[in-house]
Amino acid sequence: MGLGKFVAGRIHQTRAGKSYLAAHPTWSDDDPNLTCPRWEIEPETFQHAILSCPARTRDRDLLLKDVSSLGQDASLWTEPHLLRALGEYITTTKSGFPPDMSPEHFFPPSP
Amino acid sequence: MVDWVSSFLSERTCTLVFQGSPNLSSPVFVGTPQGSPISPLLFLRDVAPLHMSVPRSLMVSYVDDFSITVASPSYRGNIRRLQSLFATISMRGRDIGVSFSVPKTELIHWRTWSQRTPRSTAPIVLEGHLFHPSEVVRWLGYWCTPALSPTHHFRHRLSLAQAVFSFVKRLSFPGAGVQPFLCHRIATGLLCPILTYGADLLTPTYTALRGMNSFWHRVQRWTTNNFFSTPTSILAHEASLPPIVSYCRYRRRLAALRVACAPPYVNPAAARVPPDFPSLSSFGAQDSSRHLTKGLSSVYLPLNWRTKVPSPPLRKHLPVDALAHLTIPLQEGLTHLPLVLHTLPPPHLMRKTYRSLRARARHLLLQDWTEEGPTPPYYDYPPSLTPPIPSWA
Repeated sequence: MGLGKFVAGRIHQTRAGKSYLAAHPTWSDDDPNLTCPRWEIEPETFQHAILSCPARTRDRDLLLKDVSSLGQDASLWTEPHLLRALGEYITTTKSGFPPDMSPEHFFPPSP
Repeated sequence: MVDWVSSFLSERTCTLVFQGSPNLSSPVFVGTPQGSPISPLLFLRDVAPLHMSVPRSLMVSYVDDFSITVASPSYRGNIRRLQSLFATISMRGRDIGVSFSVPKTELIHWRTWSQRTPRSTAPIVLEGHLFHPSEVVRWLGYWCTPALSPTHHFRHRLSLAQAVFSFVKRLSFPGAGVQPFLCHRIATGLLCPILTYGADLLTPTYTALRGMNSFWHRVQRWTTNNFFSTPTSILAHEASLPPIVSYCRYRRRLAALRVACAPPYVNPAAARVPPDFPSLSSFGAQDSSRHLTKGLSSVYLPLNWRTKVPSPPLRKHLPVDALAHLTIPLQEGLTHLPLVLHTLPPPHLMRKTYRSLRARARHLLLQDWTEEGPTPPYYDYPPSLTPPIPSWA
């Protein structure tokens, strides 16, 4: 029951606007690159990563077809199955994951 | 009933249990058994004659903790009155077979915020024991200083909450951490009550709030897994844990409601509201503590309960008057308020009104929260006391 600490943390961080998404840069980065690393046209905002990133269309169609908004009145924040689907989507697409956990930096554990 | 109580208190024995103890049962003829819910009631019934109504004094007890407060124009006069009152109570106690543990006595000389005279060091002598006045006295979990400064009290609460937090942080599922909704429950059900105990009566000062806020932000970060760079206003919204200032005000409003809506025979604090407070006044008891300051010079007089505390505060309300003041915003916009009734309304009406006042207090909390910590424009989620990721997700 309940989303795990890690996935719930991703949701809190992206909602708060301070996360590992490219459009939420750290203050120490002088020249941040805000564009989405998977679709290098738009900035990687919360909205983009969850609702509009073309590179994640397959997972979105599969898991988030009932989600159309992330605003304060969205049914996402009141419907349990939608919130669980969002958690699954974040886990599958690794959206908002720390850079060392993203697919391109993944190394199998050493023996 | 008499037979039951008699049976409960008779033929009692006690055995000392420690290594090398003789393991013998000894008969017990005094006191009431520890751990039974009826014991404090029987004890209170037994010591009731010790409570006296003496002019310019106040006697309050909590089970076996007695406190006597007296007022006079001089400290020496107070000491003399305390000694004489103690002698009278001890004599009464002897008559009913009760004695006081004198070495546990503590003395404090109360002052007001505006008093400029030097602090008194006048000691008291009770049964040959000399007691010097303390700088801080702990009573029922409240740390009281002579001027009732809340800083000391909240410093203790903060260290207690920090100790508990360092312990609960170790709770975890292996490799997964505590789920956020459980963190929220721990924060609201355990850490917040420890941290804000006493906030019903005492308002944390700026110094106390700095430490409390810093701790509370750590709790909010632990609940949400947010970064240190996250603005604190957003952190509070995400964790669904209101800022300490707003929460303390909410606690005080609820305490004010309890006082205003309860008849004095249910809630003794209701007997101490200001005489002109529109409460269930026809049921008011006569033991108001207000008479302690009657006739003294203006520096000792508390503010009228309707007056807002000026900033910087030169003179303060009595704690119960400050509570009474907090009911003013709750009354706004409500047409059916029981506070002006002179006969006890039916219970269902009292319940209904109390609930609507509580709902209003909650609404004011959210309003205070929004005003206290406005969020940056890019964050558009409203404050809520329910976590955004609840247990069912």
